Amino acid sequence: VIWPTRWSALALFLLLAPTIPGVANRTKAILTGRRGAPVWQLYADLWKLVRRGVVYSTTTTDVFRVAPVAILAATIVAAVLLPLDGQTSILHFSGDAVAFASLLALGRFALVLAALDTGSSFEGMGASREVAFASLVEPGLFVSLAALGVVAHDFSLSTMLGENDARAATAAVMPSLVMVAISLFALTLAECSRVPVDDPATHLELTMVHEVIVLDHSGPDLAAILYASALKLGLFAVIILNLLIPGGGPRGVAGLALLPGSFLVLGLAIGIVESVTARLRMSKVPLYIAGSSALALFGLILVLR
Amino acid sequence: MLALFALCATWTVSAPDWSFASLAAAAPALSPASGVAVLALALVGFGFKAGLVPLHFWLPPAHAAAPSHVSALMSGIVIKTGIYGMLRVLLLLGGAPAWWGWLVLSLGVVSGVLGVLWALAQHDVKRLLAYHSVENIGIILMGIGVGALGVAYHAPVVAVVGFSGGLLHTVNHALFKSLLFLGAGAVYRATGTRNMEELGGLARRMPWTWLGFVIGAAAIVGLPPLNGFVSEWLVYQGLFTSSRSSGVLRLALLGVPALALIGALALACFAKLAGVVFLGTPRSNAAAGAKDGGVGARIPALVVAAACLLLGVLPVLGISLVNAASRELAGASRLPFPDSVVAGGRAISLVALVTIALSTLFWLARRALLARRLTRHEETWACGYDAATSRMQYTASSFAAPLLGIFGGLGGVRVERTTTSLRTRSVDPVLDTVALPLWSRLRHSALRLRAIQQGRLHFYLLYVMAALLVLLGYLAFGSRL
Repeated sequence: VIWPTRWSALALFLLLAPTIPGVANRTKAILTGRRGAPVWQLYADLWKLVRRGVVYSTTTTDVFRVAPVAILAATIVAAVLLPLDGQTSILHFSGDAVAFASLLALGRFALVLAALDTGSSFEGMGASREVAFASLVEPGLFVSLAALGVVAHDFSLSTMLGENDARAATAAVMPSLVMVAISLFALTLAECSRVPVDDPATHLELTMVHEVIVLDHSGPDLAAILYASALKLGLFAVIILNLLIPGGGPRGVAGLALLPGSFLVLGLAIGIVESVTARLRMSKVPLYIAGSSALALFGLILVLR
Repeated sequence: MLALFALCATWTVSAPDWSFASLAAAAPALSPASGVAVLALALVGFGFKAGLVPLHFWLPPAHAAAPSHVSALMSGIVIKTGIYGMLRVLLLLGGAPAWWGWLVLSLGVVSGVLGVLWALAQHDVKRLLAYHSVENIGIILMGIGVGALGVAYHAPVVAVVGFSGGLLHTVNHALFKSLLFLGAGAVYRATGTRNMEELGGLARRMPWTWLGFVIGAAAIVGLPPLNGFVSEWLVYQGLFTSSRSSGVLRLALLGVPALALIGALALACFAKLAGVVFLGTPRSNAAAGAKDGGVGARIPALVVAAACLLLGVLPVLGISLVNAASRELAGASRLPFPDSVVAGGRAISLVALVTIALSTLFWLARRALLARRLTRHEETWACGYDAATSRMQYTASSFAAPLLGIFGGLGGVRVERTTTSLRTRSVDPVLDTVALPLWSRLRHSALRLRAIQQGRLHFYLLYVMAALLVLLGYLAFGSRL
């Protein structure tokens, strides 16, 4: 009986994830006194790109063409490991949290190699910044996952975020969980290239981090990359919201409704952050990431006690 | 070597001869002090051999100087004898006290983080790979440390998982590091340089070498669906399971963020290596004229690459390889291998296969989409300017600069700045700031001993006589002292 819910949750996830950047941008527009693009703007962009032809740099090799495919596949497999319906994931095993993080790393590796494949100095610079910031985010992410694992007595994402009796009585550890959630939100902003670490709206190559890596991609390739970025936001939305629900979310259709709910919350939060804060200076980013990771570390130490 | 002889000497005081069997029999009779000495000496002696920080400084120059197929053997097999030696001592002693486990785990963390950080600072392809051996020895030691802690705190499952992670990573590292050194050797043969700043664009010119190299790079970074991921997952599992026991052992969980940092830095480092050497445009004429080696050079690399893929897609193969040995080390030979590991191994197969299948599916879909579309080939975007040259590409040093800047003095880069030039040089903090100054000071004070060495034979005969007299005196009256 559970199987259909899990698969429909996956379908819903794949279908609705592109609304997150839409919600974020709309929120930002309204808060800064503009009307802004519709929430479903990304769907229109993706549809447009899929129907286009492509332009390839003469410098590039097959790496450039394989990377968009690899990042999309890796992100979707990562989604399969998450309990998207709030109960349990399609595929789960002890330590699947490591596989989840490694799949995201696989996508990053492919994208960075594609950027270096163009031989462009801009893309080399972007790739360098991307791996530098990601290297700092990774320990913070694992500290958060470790804290959730200690609470759940198991290191599978399904028990850490889904239905689990060990998590049912989490009143005592709620402060730690809130700390982990805040830390994960801050790290999401860094990992998914949003303000205050990166600005998706910037138009100057020198100030871009993530955007500049995909500068030479076009057509369906670019569509795959943009879609994968939206999915990645979705993954973190699911993690952050579910870790705060003790004992797992509601079953059935109500559980499915939680998914768009988490997207809406994350989109709103990102939009609010982007309209009230400016982007950090590049040299301050390590401090920001280290500070957010430290919060998760306090959470971990509190539950380890 | 000296440390190893001292180790044997301490041990054989209470054993009849030097065979492993009698050493094992003598192990319970060791006094606490000599037990500590044996373990410490094993760590120093075999640690030198394995190249763990701060005893690693001989390794990068040695491995970089050897011919590449020999470097492959040195990094793949020879330094592992250090690991083997440590495990052998552990087995003969029948486990180690907790302090040794904590020490090995922390040394593993230090070796891992500093090894990869110093690798990031290198411009020489083979020196970079050699520093990665230091990093991987760190990961192996983390596994062994967790295993030893599991034994010390009577948590057999933690011990088995930890040891199996360390052992499997030993096997995996032998595979992907050989693959990478073979690739580096092919590049050196084709271009005559190991300096990354003179390479570039080799993926087009040496497609077979590139294929092997990129598989090796993804494997060493620990990405699915390759073998490096499986053993790192096992080490993570060891750290995770430690948290489920009670007491101090739970603190081993703090190794998790360290391992995550090592993995992410390795990704940065191999993005730099693969990207600068193989992608973009050639930075020198030598790189522009490079060609793949013959079939004889391709086949070994491709066989090893296939092995990396096989152990990544079928982790159960690798796990069954280390199963018996890790249970023996954990002193739990009669216990079944933990189910969660076997089940995890099977699930990882599924993850790997689904990732490969989905990628293939998307690749075919992309081909079908683009089949009847306009595909144009233009120059890389450079803000509307054309005629970009290869000198405008990002260099290896610039690529690594932000990360090394974050880690400051630990990063091992020295900047030499004059009014008209800026040069960065990679240094080994241990070798260049500690070992070499220490050595030169030692040599300096040794010069004072020169006074007794004047090259006259009768003085030397006098020394021999004096030494004999002292020894005779000791024999005659020593017992009464």
